[in-house]
Parts: sequence; structure tokens; C-alpha cells
Amino acid sequence: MNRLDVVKLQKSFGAARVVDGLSFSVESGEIFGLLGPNGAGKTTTMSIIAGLLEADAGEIRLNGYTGGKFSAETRKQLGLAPQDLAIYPDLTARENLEFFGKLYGLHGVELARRCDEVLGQIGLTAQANVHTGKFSGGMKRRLNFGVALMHQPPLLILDEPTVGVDPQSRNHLLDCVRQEASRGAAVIYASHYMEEVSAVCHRVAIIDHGRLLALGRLDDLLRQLTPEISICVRELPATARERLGSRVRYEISGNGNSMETRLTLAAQSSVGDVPSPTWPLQQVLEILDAEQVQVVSIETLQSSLERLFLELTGRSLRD
Amino acid sequence: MNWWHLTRKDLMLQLRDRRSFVVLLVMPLIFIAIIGLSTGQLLGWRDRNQVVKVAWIDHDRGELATRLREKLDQREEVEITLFADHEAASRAVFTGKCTLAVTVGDQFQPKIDELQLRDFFARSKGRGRLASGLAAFDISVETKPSWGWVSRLVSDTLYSLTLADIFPTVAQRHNLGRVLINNMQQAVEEEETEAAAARASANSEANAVPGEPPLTAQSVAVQTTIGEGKATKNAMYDTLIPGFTVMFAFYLVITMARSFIAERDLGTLRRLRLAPLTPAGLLIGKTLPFLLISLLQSVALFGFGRLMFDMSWGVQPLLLIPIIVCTSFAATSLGLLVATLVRTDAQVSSYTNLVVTSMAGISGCFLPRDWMPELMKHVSLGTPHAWSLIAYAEALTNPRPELSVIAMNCLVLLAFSAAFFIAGCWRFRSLK
Repeated sequence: MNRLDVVKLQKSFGAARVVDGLSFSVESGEIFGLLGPNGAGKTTTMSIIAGLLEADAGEIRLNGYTGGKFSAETRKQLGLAPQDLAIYPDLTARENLEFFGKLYGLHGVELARRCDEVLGQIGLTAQANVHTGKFSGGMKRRLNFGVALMHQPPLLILDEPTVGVDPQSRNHLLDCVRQEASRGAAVIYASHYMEEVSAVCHRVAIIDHGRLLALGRLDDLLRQLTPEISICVRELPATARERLGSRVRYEISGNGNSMETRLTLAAQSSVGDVPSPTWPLQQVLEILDAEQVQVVSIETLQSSLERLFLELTGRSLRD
Repeated sequence: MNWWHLTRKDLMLQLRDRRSFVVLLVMPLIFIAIIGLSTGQLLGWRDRNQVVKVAWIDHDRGELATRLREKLDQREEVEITLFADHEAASRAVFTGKCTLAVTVGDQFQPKIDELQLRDFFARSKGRGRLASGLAAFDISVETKPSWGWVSRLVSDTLYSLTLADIFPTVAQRHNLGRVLINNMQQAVEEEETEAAAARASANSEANAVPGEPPLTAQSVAVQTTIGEGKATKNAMYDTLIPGFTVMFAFYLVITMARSFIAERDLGTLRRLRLAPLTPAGLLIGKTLPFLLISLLQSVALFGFGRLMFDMSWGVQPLLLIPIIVCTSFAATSLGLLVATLVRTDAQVSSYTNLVVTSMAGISGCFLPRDWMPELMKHVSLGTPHAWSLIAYAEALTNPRPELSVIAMNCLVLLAFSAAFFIAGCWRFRSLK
């Protein structure tokens, strides 16, 4: 049974449409990666799902309940670890967990038990009674995550939960995410770290400008990605560019004496790790040789989430 | 009741934040103590500054001039120091050691000797020797401009005392109505004897019953108007303490706004909005701690007012409770509204301070409302502070406080509270 259904969601701020007809679903026990460059609409989408923002159109269905603003009972099914830390620095780790636990209806022995469990889960048992203002960035981040787990929500929304933490804390947090999924929680995981998403997410949605660009299991998405060969050259004359035509993608980088041009050839299929270009690599190299172009390097580009992401969202800088 | 956890959390945070605690509770007490010291009253101590210090130079040295000085000196609010020469007396006035200097000239007795009975009757028509005031007796009063009103009061008193003293002498000198005057003097002495006997009788009755008899409206009225009772001793504080209590209650607006901004900056407001709390529950949970602090603050200020300044709690101290509660409601509701209007700590520091201090000034928190011009009294009714102050004045200083007046002012305060709270809720819901 689907835990969450997002159907044709739309949201605008003024004239800017931030979410544009987004649809996806997340199932119980699934970690769903939500990827997109800055300003793609990830946080807005998650805020609408959490009930913090109202959608202009579309529908959110959470375990059968419909609406952008859920009832108190439905909100108990949500756990949010926001991108920015949201904990009280003047309270201890235990007090933070207790406070938010109480808000979600936990009390007495159950509250104490959950506090101990979560403190153990996020590795802060020894620092339970320390004011969080004295915590390191990683510890704060773990507690920020732990608060979302207190009431064991069926839907966990994690907005870049590992920003600014060391590899140890990151691995620990990723393990926690897997644990939550294994107990049956549906997890929405937004991140800029492709390796993290590749490591933990079962399915991925890539969005940009509020639109869904790709959605599916990671393997399936990567399989759609055509292998490429990248040739790095110095000083590509106009005549060479003319002869190579439009089947080669150009990308100029560097400046002054170190100026380089990267030529990328798309391949339709590959045998093992060796791509087979539609336009033979040999012909390209012959043209470059004839034009006396100095080749710096030749490499094959493996299929990766990062490549897929960049291909779909472009390489231009975002604000 | 989820909002109660929010209230408890905020109370705990406020108590842990010592600086905030000092600002909320200790600062007002320190502030009022400083005012007490500035005005020369604290913990039963009364500075000599409370009396008019008169530098007395007597060039006449006659019996009448001496008697006049002694009569003035008998007054509780006057303290006389003798000076040999005018220059030393002037220096004492200039340096502030004395409030004013009174010089009885060497023409004092001769001028009195010259007085005719008709001067007394012509005086009321602004003619005759006595029309020139103290100058008619060769008495001059000198003071600094800032004490001009005190100088006028002392001059009038001296003038009255002199007239009262010399009239029988002048009348006798002119052999007019000797018998009449003697009869009048005898009648006055008999009245005084009867009054003394009545007072003795009343005292013995009071001593016969344990404790004092309940104050009647009339007895209180006498105390407050004539000034024989404890209530008038520090009557100024019956006005000032409520003024500062109201002012500090509304200063909570700043702390409340800071608390909301902190929730926003910490990102925890997002979590709270996501939690299973209704918006009203969230706002009540955030507001209630400050309501409790406001109540505690008001009770503490009235308690210290009593302890330090011997202020009166009025004839029915219980009447203070609804006023304190309604004032706290209005203050915290305004705090809620302001908290949803400001966006940064800098805005709290600038705008909120300005608004709160201005409202306190307009409403009459700094000075007794009785001193305010009528126009300002009307303008001040636009602030909840003013309604609170009117209610406090009714409960504290009216010997027969009218419940209807207090109830109406409390209702207006509750109306302010409701308006502020609804506007705050509306603002909060529109915040993204």
C-alpha cells in the first residue's frame, strides 16, 4: 500500500511557478530520493507534503487522508528533519527529545523509553544531558534527525540531513535512515550528495524548475544514460570544429595558456566498459590529427547519478 | 493540552536565561528602588529633602518676629535654620542647602505699628498697606527660580500667620471690640477643649476592642484629604507603583517578541507548526508563560511597593487582582501581535521599544494621570495602559472604590486583549 501520493502538485510564489505538476508516490519501507539543483522546488514540495505550505493545485494523500493541511492525528504520521537545524540550544539533548516527544503525545515510561532508544540510535547517549549549544555540528545534525524519529512516524521527510557533517556522522545517519526504512517507514530523502542518494535510495526523482525530469529505480535510470567518450584538447581551430560538426559536444574550460576544450561523443551502446560511439572515435582522432590539434586526454564517462543529474539539469550555475 | 508542554518549555527557558529573568523581575524592582531613593523614600526612611528648608534672617529680633518664626517652624513640612547675615543665607539657597531664605527686615515692628484697622478691611479690595503682601511687613523671600512655587506657598503661609497674629494686637490697640475679641477667643478655647475630649473618647473606644475598627468611608476620606493617616504619607507611590507596574507589564512585549523570533531563527517554529497543535494552541502555549511571568511581576512590584514605599493597597486589596489579571492579558496579547509583526531582533530593539515606551508615556505611566492635560487624558484612552491606570487609581486611592468603574475598565482591557489576540492569530496564520 502506498504511504504517500503526490498528485499534480502546483505552487507559485508571485509570478514564479516553483512546483509545476509534480506527481510521485512513496511506499512503505522505501527510501525515495528527491534530487534537484538549488531552487528546483524540493524544499517547497516537502513543505507542502508536511502541511507547512498550501498547494495552489494538486493533491497530497497520506495513508488515505487527503489535504495540504492535515488534521492533528494525520500530522502525527509525519516526521521532518529540516535542512536547517531546529533544536533548542538551551535544552539538553534529552530535553529536546522529550519536549518534541510530548508534543506528539508520548509521555511517561513510553516517552523515557523512546528517548533512550533514539539517543542510542543517533549515538548521543553519553551526551544526553549536555546542552545542545555545546554540541559539535555533527552532533546537532544527529539530534535534529533524532527529533524527527521520536514518535516513529510512518512518513519521514529528510531535507539534506547530512549537510556539513563529517564522514563518520554521515555514515551513522545513513545507517539510521536505512533502519527507519527497514521498520516500515516511507522516507523522502532530499540531498545534493549523489553518492549518498545512490547509496541509500531505492527510487529517485530528479526535478528542476518544479517539474519532474526523471523518476524511477536508480539502476533503470542509469541504464537509460548513454555512455560517452570525452576528449580533452588544446586550441581547437574553427576548421576542425566545422569538420567535426554537431555530433560532438563542446565545452571550453580554463583560461589563458591553460585553455582546454572538452569534446564529448555520445555512444549508443557499450560492451563492458568500452563505449561504441555512433561516430567512430578513430575518425574524430584522424580529424584532430589532420588539424594538428594537441590531444591532452581521452576518457570514457561511466554512467552515474551525477552524470544523469547534470545531463538533465544542465551545467550552468544556479543561484 | 499539548500547548501546556510548550508553556512549560518556555518557562524553563526563561528561568534558565538569567539575564532575561533579571530584566523581567529584578530590573523593575531596582528601577522602582532607584526612584524611591531619588525621591527620598525607601524602606520607611524619609530624607530631609522632603521638607522645605528655610534660611531665616531676623534683623528685627523682636518678640513678634520670633513668634512668627516659631509658628512656621512648628509645621512638619518646614525646617528653619537661623542665619546671621543675608549673604550666608543666599549662599545656602544657591548651593541647595536651603530651599529659600526669609529675611525679616528691621522695619518689621515699625510697619506693624503703623497698621490701621482699615488696612485689614481695605486689603480685600486690594488697597491699603497690606495690599503689598509680605512687603507690608518688611519681609522678603528669596529662592531659586525652580523653587518659585514653594516660595509662593511659604510667602502665603507667612502672610496668613502674620495677619492672624497681629490682628488682635492691632484691634486692641484701636480699642475696637475688646469684649467681642475676648469672647471669640474664649469660644475658640472651649471648642478646642471639646474636640480634645472627643478625641480622647474615640481613642479609648478603639483601645477597648482588639484591633482597629473597620475603616469607614468617612474616616478614610479624612485621612486622605487632610493627611493625618498613613495612606497619605506615601500617596505619590499609590500612583507611581501602578504606573511602573503597568509600564513593565507591557515591556514584556519585547521579551515575547524575542522569544518568537528565537523560535523562528532556530527553525523550531517550523517544527511546532508541523506538530499536532492547532495554531491557536500554539499561540496560547507561547503566550501563557509570559502571562504567568507578567502576573508574578505585578504581584512582586506591588509587594515591594508595600515593603519599600509603604504604599497603600487601597481599602479593598482584592480589587487589585482582576486589574492585574486583565492588564497582564492585554500586555501579553499585545506581545503576541507584535511578535507576529516584527521580523528581526533589531526591529524588536528599535520599533518595539519605541512603541512600548511611547504608549507608557502617553497613558500616564511616568507621571500621575491627574497632572495630565485633559486632551492627553482623552488621547491616552487609546492605550490599554490608561484603562489599567484608571482602574488602579480607583482601587488604590478612592476611599470608596466603585466596582462598576473597575469592572468597566477591566472589560475594556479584556476587549483590547481579544482584539490583539485575534489580530495576532490572523497575522500568524498568514506568516509563511
